[in-house]
Amino acid sequence: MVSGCLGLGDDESDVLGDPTYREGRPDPGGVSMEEMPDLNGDLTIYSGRSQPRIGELIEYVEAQYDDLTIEVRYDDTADLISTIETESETPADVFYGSETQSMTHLKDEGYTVELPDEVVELVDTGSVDPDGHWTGFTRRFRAVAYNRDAYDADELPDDIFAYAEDERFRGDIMWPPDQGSFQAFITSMRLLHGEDETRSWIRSMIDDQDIEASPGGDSALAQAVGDGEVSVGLTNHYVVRDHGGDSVGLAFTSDDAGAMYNVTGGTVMADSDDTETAANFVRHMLSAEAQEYFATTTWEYPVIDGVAPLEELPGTDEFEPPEFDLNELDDPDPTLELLREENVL
Amino acid sequence: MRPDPFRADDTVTAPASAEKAHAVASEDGAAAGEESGDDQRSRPWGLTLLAAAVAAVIVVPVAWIGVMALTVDLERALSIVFRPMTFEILTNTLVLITLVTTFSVLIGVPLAILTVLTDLPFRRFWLAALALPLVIPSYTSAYAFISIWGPHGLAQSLVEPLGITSLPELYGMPGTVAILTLYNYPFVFITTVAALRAFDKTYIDAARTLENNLFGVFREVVLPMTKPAIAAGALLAALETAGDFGVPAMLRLNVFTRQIYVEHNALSHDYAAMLSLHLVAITLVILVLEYAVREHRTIHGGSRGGSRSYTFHLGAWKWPALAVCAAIVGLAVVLPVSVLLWWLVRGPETYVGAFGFRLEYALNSVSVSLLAALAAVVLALPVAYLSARYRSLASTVLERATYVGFAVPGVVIGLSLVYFGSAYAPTLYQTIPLLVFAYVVLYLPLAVGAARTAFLYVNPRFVEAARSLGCPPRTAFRRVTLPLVVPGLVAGGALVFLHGMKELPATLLLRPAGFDSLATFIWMAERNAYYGYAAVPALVLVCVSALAIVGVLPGDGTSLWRRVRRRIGTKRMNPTNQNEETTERDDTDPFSRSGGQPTRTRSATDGGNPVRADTPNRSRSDSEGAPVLELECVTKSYGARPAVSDLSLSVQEGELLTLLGPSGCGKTTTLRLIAGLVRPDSGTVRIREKSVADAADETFVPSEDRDVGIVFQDFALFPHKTVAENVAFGLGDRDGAGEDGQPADETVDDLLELVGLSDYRDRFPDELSGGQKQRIALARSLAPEPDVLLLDEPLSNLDAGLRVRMRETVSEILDRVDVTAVWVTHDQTEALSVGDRTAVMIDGEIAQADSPRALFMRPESRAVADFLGQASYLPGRQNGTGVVETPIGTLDGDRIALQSGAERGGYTDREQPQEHNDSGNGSDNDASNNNVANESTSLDLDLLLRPDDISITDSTSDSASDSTPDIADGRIVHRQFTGSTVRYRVVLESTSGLENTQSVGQSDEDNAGGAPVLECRCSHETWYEVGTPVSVSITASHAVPAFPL
Repeated sequence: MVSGCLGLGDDESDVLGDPTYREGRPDPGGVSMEEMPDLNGDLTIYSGRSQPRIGELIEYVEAQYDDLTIEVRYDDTADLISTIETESETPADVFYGSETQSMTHLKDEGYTVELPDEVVELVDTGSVDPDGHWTGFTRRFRAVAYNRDAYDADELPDDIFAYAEDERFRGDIMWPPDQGSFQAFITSMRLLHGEDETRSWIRSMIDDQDIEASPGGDSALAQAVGDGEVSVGLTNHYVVRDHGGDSVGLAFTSDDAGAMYNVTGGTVMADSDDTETAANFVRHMLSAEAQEYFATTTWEYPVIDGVAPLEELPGTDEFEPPEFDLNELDDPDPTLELLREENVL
Repeated sequence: MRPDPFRADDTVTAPASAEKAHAVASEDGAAAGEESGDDQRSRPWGLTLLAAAVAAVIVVPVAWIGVMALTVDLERALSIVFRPMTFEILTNTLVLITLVTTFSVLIGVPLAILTVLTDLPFRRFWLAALALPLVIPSYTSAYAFISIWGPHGLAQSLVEPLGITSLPELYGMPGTVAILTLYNYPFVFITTVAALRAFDKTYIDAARTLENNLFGVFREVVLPMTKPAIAAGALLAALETAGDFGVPAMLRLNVFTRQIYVEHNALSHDYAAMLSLHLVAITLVILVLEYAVREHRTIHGGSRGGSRSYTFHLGAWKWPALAVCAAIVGLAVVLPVSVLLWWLVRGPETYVGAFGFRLEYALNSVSVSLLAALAAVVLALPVAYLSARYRSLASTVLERATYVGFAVPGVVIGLSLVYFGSAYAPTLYQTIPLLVFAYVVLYLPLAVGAARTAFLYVNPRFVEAARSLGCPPRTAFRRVTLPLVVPGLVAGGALVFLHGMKELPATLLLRPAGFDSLATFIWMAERNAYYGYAAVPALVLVCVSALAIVGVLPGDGTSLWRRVRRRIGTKRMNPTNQNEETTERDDTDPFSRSGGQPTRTRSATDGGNPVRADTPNRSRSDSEGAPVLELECVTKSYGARPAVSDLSLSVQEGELLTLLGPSGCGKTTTLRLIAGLVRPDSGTVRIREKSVADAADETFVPSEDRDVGIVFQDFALFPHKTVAENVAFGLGDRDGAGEDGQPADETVDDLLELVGLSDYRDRFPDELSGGQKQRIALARSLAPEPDVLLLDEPLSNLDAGLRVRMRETVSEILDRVDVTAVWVTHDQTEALSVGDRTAVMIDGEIAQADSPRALFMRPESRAVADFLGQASYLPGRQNGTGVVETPIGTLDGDRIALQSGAERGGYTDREQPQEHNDSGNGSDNDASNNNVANESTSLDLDLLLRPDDISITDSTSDSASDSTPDIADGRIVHRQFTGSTVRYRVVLESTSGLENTQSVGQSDEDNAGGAPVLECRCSHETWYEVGTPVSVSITASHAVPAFPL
């Protein structure tokens, strides 16, 4: 199964992904695109992930096949879901989500079809829909971003609940409550630790720790941590790739909601005229090339065996993610309600 | 003059003098409701349907929000609506709107005054610069402010060495208000600038003479005059604030838009829709408020040409003023642009593969925004025109309806169009046309507002002028109205364009796949916090939009256009004339140059001749044919008030009839009835024996089909056409001007020569002086050779000296072309000096029509007597022998002419007293003699005495060489020296039984308890002190008119 160079890097101009981080890595394992069925025809993708993240990869895939045209509609996930629900028949063949909630939502509303087994079986079990309607492409962990000048990694607790109690963080911690990824994290906390414990954690954060809300999502939070505005922030692991600079470090908690992960992924739309090609496109996102691209370029954790996460990140063996069905993140309402009741939103 | 785009609603450019203002209020005001006469009778159904269709296009997507909102789970909806936070959100939203709007007015209005009315250095630069915040997308500026003012931003690092550890909090209400104000005040600024430029600056002169401080002038005059404009700007600022998402979101202020996005992001767009309804409700309230503030006076700008610019001198205040302007531009424009430049310099910081800016994105933005601007302007036309020209509940509702979606977030409107597009127009879905349409739905109000004010600004006189020159309504709209509103339409289009360039949410939803605009690219970059990538497109966006600002600004864009026009049309022009900006003096007399002396006899030469032997003012061929113009029993009422009642009048071939009357007497309405601009309620109007309006059989020939020319009070020269084009205007469409061998060009040349303005053919009306405009207006009306020429107060807009000269000039021109004319005026000297015949009109009726001398010397009624010149009344009693006893002695019966006999049964209908009975001193007074013969008892009379009918002598003086000693008849109570003459007011000794009923009433304190008062004009050599007892004698050589009591 292990491929050679797979055509990557043979020619400098043909390099897929960020050359800085690709260099020196072992050849990726997994299935090469070359071994996958050819893609033909017109594909329309509604993508909740943005062009800077995946545009290069999509163009690469399109360039592999003469008869393939891929049109991508980049937009907010919420816009795309609303659009699909509003359209009388969606032109989308594939929905590319930046988290599972949107995909589960589409699945539950009957907009999607099951993926073929040969696609689903490529993926680690924790990162794919048990019903096979969607599959993850990458994993993104919740993490604690900290200012290296203020703390060392081992000074930070590995228990998310400690962050609500530790007096060191009083007035010196930030979260981004209006972000979907944060809300998913709260959802997982509710699922894993229960409603009451979650509520009291939120209360402590507000009342005792005087937590600040990020002015502009996770990137601003990372910036604030990097600038020393606050020393600690609750965010996503990949944010540190672009923001905050070298002074931002990442810490993970263990076996609690603080280390939960979500996946970016894809699902095939039932309205698609060619669900087979659509499913094969999804399959291409699970290829060795694509997974290597994600690992090195978006700093996310691969979902297939054979491709390792970036060396700059803690390995998955260094902490213990909690276990739960990602589909359960789908219903945000109780979380939103909780956040509203505590005047966080 | 250029109709300014944002010339806001209902700003009045009223005539300068109070008298004229009154005239407008009473006469034109009533007529304004009538505007285009016959059109008004029936509602313009076609136009209304068109406007309704446009309004529906806007309302339907908004209504979809309501439908969506109905699908929500009621319990959850209620819990959202009634949770305590909703109250906070509502409060925040309302406070935010109120504060931003208030501050926008407080900043925008003074800045507008500074840049329009003062000598602020570099005014033009500031005018553009202060409007520039409109081009900065708020999402960019908010980033900029946060990065500079944030807890660890540039500002903090600058003040830290000074020991300031924390700056005032940017987040929350204060920062949001500050930033939104900086970006929304330009709405108020540009509307106010337009209004200030447009309104008549003579008001400021007037106010400055009355108010002793400058603030008083602003408070009492400038602000009230610009209030509707300010309201229009504030409306836009308020709605923009209500709908702004980016700034409150980034500054963490909880408002409705933010909650809508929270719901939207939680994938519950039905709840987002429900929350949007709150914004729709707030919008409705704002619309009602603005409607209440917007005044509903009769409107539109003047049609006599632009008013000169006005300047307050700032003096030392110049420096603080400059500092304020610089501070605002610095904060709102320079600062965010600097941040963009900083991003640019710092460059892209991370690897993002295929992501990069392409020129194509800029072209996409520009082309879609341009298309949207065009479409919005086209769709705005019917709504704006209907609302501006036909005031009714329906037109108002249709206009207001276009605003309902303005404050709803683009994502909600966008989704609505996703629904309609994918369901009903799948071929258009996710294509450019639907995207353009989305912009139209979002920004139509901007175009409607600008177009509406532009239409309001077009004085209906222009349209009436066009119609009197033979244009049917549609043609008049195309040739006159449309060109005049173009700047307003351009401004509206430019605003739509500016917003289109910045639009993001609807673009994301509706763009074709793979279509990127500047805004979507910036969004993409900023979303990932790749500010380095956002710099170039953001700078491109700002620069392109800055170009469009030129279109938004009211002002001097026309000068360039004119230069081009001149170059094309300059073949006949004397190049030296073209460049020198000399304003020709008004006393250029066409006849002194053209040499041809007019053949004319003056009325003033006939001294003491009897009235019967009156010579006409002008020599013309007396044709005793059928009258050219006939009005028979014409009545016209506005509401319950009759403006003209049962009026009959006829004008002979070649005759010049002056229609004289006090303000509000109905004379202008009479003119408009003749012109076909107003339909009579009853009666008949005939021109050359052909009925052109007959209420009985519903005949009505519209203005353009009558051979009638009009010269308007305020000239109504088409400001967008040159002098030659104005004169030629009526030639193209009527009777084929070129057919009789005389090309239109030659006719224009001849007419310009006739009025002595051949050198001015390529000038524009606002480059002419008042007198010149008047002559051009005359030439224009004469060009189609009308059967009847109507002149509506043609000289009242000229200053006094010029009026006298123009009176002669105009009447000489009329004489030369020998046109039949009706000349309306309230100036008796004008009426009496130019008319062959004068009709005095009082309270909607012709009080008397006669030769000017007969009118003056033989008024039929006191009303006519009082109206024409100074009238004093001397009480008298005629005894059986015809001798009249008066306080100053007796008068033989043949020295009086008894008037208004009808009151006592003296006249019958078959007798025309003025035509046949009056005679002067030569012949006997049949009427009075008859009367005397019929009456056995004595008759109480009032004798009408003009100031020069009597003379006074000092009764105490010894120099009286008379045999009879002078008896003092009265006492001088007032003296006025006017140069060549001295006027005395004499109060007579009261004589029992001879009470005069009417006296000259200038000042009551001089009226000694009902005693008769006489006005007397003496030569400047006669000089008596006030209080001198004098004897009075009647020196008139003609019979004195007498009115029975």
